[in-house]
Amino acid sequence: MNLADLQIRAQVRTPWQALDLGVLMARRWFRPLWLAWLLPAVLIFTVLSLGFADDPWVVTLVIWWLKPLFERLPLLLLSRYLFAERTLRGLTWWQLLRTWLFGSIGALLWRRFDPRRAFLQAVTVLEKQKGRARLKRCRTLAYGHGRAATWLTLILAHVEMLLVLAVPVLVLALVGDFFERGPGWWFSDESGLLAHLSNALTLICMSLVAPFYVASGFALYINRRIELEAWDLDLLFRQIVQDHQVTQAKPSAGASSLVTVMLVVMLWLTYLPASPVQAAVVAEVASPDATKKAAVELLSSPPYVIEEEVTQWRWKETEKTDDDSVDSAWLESLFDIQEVSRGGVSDGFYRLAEILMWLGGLMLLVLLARVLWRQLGQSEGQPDRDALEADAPRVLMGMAIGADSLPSDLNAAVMEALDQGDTRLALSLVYRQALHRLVHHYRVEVESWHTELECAAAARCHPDLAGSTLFDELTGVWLRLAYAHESPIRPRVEQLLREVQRELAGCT
Amino acid sequence: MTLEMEAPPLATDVSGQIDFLRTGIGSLLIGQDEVVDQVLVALLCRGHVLLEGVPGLGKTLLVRALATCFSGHFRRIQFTPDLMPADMTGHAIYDMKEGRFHVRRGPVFTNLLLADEINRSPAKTQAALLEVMQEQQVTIEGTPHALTPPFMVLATQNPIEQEGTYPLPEAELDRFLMKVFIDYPDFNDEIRLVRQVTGGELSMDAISDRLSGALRPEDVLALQRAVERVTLDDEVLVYAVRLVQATRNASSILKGAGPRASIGLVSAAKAWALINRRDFVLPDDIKQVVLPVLRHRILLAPESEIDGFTPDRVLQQLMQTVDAPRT
Repeated sequence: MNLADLQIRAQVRTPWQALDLGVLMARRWFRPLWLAWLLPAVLIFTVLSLGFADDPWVVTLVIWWLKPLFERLPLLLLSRYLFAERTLRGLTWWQLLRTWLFGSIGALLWRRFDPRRAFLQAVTVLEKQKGRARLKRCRTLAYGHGRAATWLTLILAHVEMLLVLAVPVLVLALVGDFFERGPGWWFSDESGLLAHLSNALTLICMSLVAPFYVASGFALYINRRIELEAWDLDLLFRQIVQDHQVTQAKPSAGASSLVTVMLVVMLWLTYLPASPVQAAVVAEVASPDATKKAAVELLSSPPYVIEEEVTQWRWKETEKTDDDSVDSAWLESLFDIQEVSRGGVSDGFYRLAEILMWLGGLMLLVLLARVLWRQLGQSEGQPDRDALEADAPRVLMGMAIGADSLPSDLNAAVMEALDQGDTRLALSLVYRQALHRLVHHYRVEVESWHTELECAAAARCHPDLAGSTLFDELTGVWLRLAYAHESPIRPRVEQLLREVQRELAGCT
Repeated sequence: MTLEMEAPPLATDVSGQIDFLRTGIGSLLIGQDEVVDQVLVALLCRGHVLLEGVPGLGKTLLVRALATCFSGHFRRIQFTPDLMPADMTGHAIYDMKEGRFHVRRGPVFTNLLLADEINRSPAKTQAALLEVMQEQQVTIEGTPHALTPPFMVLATQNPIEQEGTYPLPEAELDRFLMKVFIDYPDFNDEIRLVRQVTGGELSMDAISDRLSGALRPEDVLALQRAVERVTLDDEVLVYAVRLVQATRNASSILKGAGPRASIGLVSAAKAWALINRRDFVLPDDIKQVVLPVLRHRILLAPESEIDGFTPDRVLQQLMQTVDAPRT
């Protein structure tokens, strides 16, 4: 890192100006940053899409979850571009891999929902800090900049969501009335090609927003370092020294060098508090040790150090400008917040809020674990029977198809109906049994408004029943009985009963 | 959604005639199978059809092909703002030599009448045609003249260029059994169409020799009677009426369909069953004809229209709220 090669003007900016600078940086180096984010993401996206072809939502979730890792390479590139290094030359594959892996567990777990991620990512990725050192460094950096970083995350998350929602709406608007779908059609398909297309669109939207997010967070980080490490002064001094060397090399420029030295002295003095004590100390000190000691003493006494022990929450006492006082006076007059906060009320409130927040987080984790557990169970061929039972209709075409509505001994019930000459009852029992097996055991997806033919079509689409014509035959016979009032002969009903019991009893 | 039934019970001559009509018209009107089926349904249950589509999609060809198939007469009226009812129905003119009035019959005296761009004429002319459709007779100088059955009107509307048109009122739309959308053929069908037309295979003269004479108007009347004999289970009838009544209770519909819609729905379902070689009606037959039979009989609520809903979409949603019939 050579400050002389810094590609931006080193000056202390407000956090919002720093964010503007970040956007400018992202625009300038958009293509490499975008590709650095997109290429690894596409690789993982492809693998996941192939692996979870039936559950596309998993792909989006994992890609979204891995975003902190995808942002590391653009950040690394940006840190080099900022100092005029246009390549990753000098970095080994191991170092690149380490960029991805260093602190990745924390970044993906307990720091995943940190709203200041873009701002503090550099501490892990570039400074390679971890543990307490990282925490301390983050605390130092975040002072005064945390709010802007949080807003950055909030706003860009919304921009990303808007992009994801806007594209299907745009497509609908362009297609016009010829495509009779609502705005939700894009997200309605949960397992088909449309869901994968939706995932791809989401990935592209994420990749478009990511360079701006990374660059803006990095600009905040750089701004804070400029402020803390006085890069601006450093560069100024370097410039002065350089100029001074130039003037020494040119004797004819003696007058200008004198002016420069005077300017330097004046500038230096403007940065020091005009104190007679300090002036006296500077005048008296001769050795470096004594100077250091005097400086330490000076810095450890007021007004440089204000130590105060605070044991409860309180409002920050910011300097009130005239405008602030006008704006907030009415609020304070209404609630007298500061007075309340000095008592025990606000302490309890914050504790309650903290407990609620932790409880909420815990519940979210439990829910997430439950969903994952279900998903894993389903992928291992153990469908969630309770959920499927609840979703499946219990009445179709006016016929109850629940297990409790069917006789325990179907054979006997059908034979009894046939003996009594009630072919309709006998066949309806066989048909209901078949529907029961299809809906509650084979999980054929039918709805309560479906007709017999629609149920047959749904059964044909089921992979386990694709080769079987039994249900089609049964439906045909049943339709003739129900709607054409033509009873089949007894052997035909018995044959259908046997076949239903044989073929559809395969799944348990 | 088809299912092979055991032992098709339909008389072979009936199914053969229907197949002849389908294939005959389908060979001329390429890529419009659904339109052909719906027009046949209307013909078989003595209904009239409102065709909506941009010009140049073969509406005239459809009617001519249909007329050729059963050796019927075909007439076409181009509706214009200055068309008078008498231009359509006919009038009495005084013969100076014989000293008496002669009745000159208008173009409505035919089997198939193509009323092209019906919304270009004012309400008076439209109403005259609609009266003919309903009564199947024309009164000239106080004398009623019955039309020769089968009689069917295929009126067309252009969905674009609405300026200077007189939209049909809801009450008059109700007279049409079906409103059929005719759209552009898909890519492959259009390639086939262009190839056959430019190769001379699709000329009306060439095809009329092959089609004419196979059926007579009396055969069409027999088919219409066969439709009436199709078995209709009470539950299916109840299902059809429930669907129509649901249009009257839906919040997204300002004006639902009337009893004429229930009658049309059941008739069309019977014809559809017959076309599919069945002598009994399934609930699926009702579902199949719901859109063309009901789409022009409902008036959407303003908020539904603002939300971009179309009658078809509302009807599809409505079908999902009505359970299949109890059997």
